[in-house]
Amino acid sequence: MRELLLSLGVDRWVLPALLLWPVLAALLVRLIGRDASPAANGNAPSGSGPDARALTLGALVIEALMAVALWGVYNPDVRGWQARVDMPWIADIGATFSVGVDGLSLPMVLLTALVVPLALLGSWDNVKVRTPAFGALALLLTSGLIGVFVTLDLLLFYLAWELMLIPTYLLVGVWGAAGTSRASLRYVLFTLVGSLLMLVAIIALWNLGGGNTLHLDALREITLSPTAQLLMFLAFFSAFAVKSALVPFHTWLPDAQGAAPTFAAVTLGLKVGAYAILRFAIPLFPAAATNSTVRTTILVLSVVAVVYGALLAMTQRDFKRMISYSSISHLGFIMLGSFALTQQSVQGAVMSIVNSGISTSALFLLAGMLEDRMGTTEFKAFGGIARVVPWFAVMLTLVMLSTVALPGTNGFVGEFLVLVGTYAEEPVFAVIATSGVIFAAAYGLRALQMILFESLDGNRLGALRDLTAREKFVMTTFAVAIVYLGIVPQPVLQRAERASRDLVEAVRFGPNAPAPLPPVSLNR
Amino acid sequence: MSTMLSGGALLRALAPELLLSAGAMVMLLGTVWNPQGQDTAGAEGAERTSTIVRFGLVLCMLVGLVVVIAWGDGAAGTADLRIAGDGFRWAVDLVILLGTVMALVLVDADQQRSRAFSPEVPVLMLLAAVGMMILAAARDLMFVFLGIELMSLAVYVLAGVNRRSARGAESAVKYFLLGAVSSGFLLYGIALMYGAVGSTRLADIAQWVSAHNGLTPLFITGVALLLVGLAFKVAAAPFHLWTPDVYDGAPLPITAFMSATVKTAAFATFARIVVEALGPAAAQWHTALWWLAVVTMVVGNVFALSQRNIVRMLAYSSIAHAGYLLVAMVVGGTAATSTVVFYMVSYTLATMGAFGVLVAVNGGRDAAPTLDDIAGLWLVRPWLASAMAVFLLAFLGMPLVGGMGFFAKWYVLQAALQATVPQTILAVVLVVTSAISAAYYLMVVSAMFMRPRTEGAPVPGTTSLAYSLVAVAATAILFLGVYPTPVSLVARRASTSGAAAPQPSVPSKGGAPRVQAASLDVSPSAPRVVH
Repeated sequence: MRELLLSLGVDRWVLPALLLWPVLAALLVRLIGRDASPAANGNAPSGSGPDARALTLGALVIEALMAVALWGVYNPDVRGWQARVDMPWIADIGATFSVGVDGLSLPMVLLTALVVPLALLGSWDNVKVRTPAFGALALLLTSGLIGVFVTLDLLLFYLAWELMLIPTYLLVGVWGAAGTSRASLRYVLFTLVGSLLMLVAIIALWNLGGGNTLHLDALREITLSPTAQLLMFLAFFSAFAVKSALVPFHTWLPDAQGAAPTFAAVTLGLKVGAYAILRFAIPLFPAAATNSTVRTTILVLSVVAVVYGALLAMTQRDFKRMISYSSISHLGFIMLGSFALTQQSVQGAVMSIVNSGISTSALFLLAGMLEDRMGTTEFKAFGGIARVVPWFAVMLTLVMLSTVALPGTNGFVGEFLVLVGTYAEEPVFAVIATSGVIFAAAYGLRALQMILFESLDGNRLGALRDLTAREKFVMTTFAVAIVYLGIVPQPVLQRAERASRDLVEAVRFGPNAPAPLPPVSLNR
Repeated sequence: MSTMLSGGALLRALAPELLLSAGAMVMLLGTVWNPQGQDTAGAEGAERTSTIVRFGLVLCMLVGLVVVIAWGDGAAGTADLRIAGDGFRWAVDLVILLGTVMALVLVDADQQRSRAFSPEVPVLMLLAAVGMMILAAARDLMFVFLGIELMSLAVYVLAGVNRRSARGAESAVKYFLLGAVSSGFLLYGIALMYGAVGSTRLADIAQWVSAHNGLTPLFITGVALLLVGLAFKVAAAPFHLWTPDVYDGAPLPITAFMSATVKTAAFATFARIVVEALGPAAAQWHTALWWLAVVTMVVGNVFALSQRNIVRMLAYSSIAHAGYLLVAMVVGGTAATSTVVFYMVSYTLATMGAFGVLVAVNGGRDAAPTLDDIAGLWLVRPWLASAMAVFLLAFLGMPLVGGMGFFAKWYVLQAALQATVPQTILAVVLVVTSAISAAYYLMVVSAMFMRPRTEGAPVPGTTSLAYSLVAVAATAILFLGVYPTPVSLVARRASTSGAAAPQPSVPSKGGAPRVQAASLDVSPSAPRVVH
């Protein structure tokens, strides 16, 4: 299979295509897509042509197929970038169109490319008005999401990073619940402050590198003074921490996700910030990332996020907000694994990013299905519906178990690796974080109980529709992924292994490594 | 060195300006031929204005061609170093002509429905453009003053061109009075500098400055007054108070012209004076300019937050943008000149496009559009709203969706961080205030996209010429946001000819004298954060 793909030259065009196709498709959807709904403002529905939603879905499926092809051509036994493409771009500042994947980014690319079409399909009736614009924005957002994972040039990365912002802003503000423009504005302002500081750091780094390259590999070779490293690391970290909603920068996330249409809530839940920390913040500034004050602070914040997020999730009255807080809690695990910096913990962090992408997305889709049926996601509006909607109940239970990291589901593998890896270096943090697993069980089961069990209000909920065939298909896909990765996590782990070992080695022995070497525990 | 110059050399050096003024005179004759009285029917007057506007468009493009040819020929300016013939002049000329062409299109679009304009308006705009081009070329403070006055007198009239509007009259009077005061400052500064140096040529001033380490109080006072005068013209805080009122009162196309093109010219001469004449004396004005930049960025962005009138908001936003460019001024050198050129291309495109949308929304009313007027624009005119969003995001400096605006900010930040002493604090202030600016730009975006259309609000529309202007501006911004190289190459070649002066004391050969900021301990920006 790999030979066939290689003979087609897939590795030479697939990454640029993954980036540019959604942009092209966005234009296409906006221009020829038909708004299926009768327009609310009295205007005639815009023109003829294929249904915009179907077009968008088609474009996203093509994107997913390309990502699968990328997975197919990837050789897990080779180190370094694969499917790499470098093209000249802006000569006078030395920026190049450089894209490539390694074991760290490949699972993210596949995850994103698969989750996005499923999210659209799973929330098919969530957005009914002005679908051409919705589809175009969704595609632009996809390009930004994929771009963050595959770009190797820091300017290109910054463009992709910021490309996520405005489409999300519009998706949340236009198609979200009424009066949400404030929530989406808060999202933009929070993330903008962080990312603009990162821009200053990128330019400063570029300048120190001689002002003729912005390639990640070249910038990693620059020798930096500890102060410069520290300031730049903080600038990068602020951008990524805000985007990934690390406590205490998390306040925007529940508001935005609670208000967002299902599709945008799912994409907001993908942990791009956590990936960017592993890809950029730590390798570029290893001495700062392992500086004991910085590292301890971040580890403390991570553990606080694990426990605090879980505790807040326990007290939420709204299902969507509960999912947000559970995702904040998961982010704590990911950060803990990333900054514990042992090979296992980093591998676990990568696995957890993937898991959280799967289970949080599935939860938001399920919440969206409830919302589409009942117009609300408050717990008190439900109860006992397991008897009415068995399919929904089974799926929700399975996804929730994955969220609380039950052994046998994917969630367990990631968190277990994180905890084991962290215990080797930072036993105290690992022990505290383990308690987060218990709290997770508490909020997860509480949610299950309040929605599915307890007494049923037959008048209101008796006629609740179970999953449609389309929804069954989407949720079954997620369920298969959850179980498969829980039992056979090797495909992801194997690819992440080399990348995470490279990362840990580079941080401890690279050109910018901290001077006194800390005790090394590479093989645990 | 002879200071006398043959008439022929002067004519050659000023050929584009002369062509433009001659054409403007011919157009003026055209308007006199059949004067428009107060009672002329709107339609007929509009028709004639339209014709004259089209004539002006062709003329501007012709002059642009002359400029390109002059640049390509390596025209050298005058031998007495009073008129520059360097890349910076030609590049700025092109930006000015671009802005003038676009503003003329806006005038044409607005006058179809508004009775504000008379056929003299395009002529006055061209005369203002002549003044601006002289400003771009001036390497002598007397020429600077000449250019500023020629430009300003025309713009004073333009601000009050709507004789039926009380707001317009108020705006024009305010502009005239404050502008006259600022010209007074400028002239006084020039006089004092002449008293200190004995010449008004920038080259002589530079020579004198590098020969005198301890500058005389006379000279320093002169520089201070000159900076105040220039700060008035570029609307830097705290000399910005006229800006919102004047922009608000003037007709929309004139506001666009003032906000983009007048500012381009003012910054061009500002940059030339800072780089060519005052470069060696950086110590004396560096701190002042540093604070001016910080205050301008903060004031512009913070005051814009509370505006509901979009024109006033854009006025404060233009103050903020002046602040961003002042960051480049603080850095000085070739970085400043090429940054000004690149930034102003982006800013001109975005401003003209945004005002094009506002002209369409306003439909010729004598009132500035507010957020309520633009609410729900997306529902009735989706492409117009999307274009407006692009322009606003370009102001904000958002990459890709804001296109070229991002690279404009990038080059300013690059200049700040590449300076001999990296201006890290200025860069951080710039990005933090930019993040603040997102709040008000996105307020307009959210009004357009997330609010329902006001009941009974008319569906915006404008001429096909203005539609194409909006489309071209948006497309150019988006394209240059992906591939900025064409403009950045032009901007790179746009260095001043400081080194062409045959004085041995000018520090660097083949480039402008760089700001010798390394020895500055007085500057509050001194902390060297990045090693």
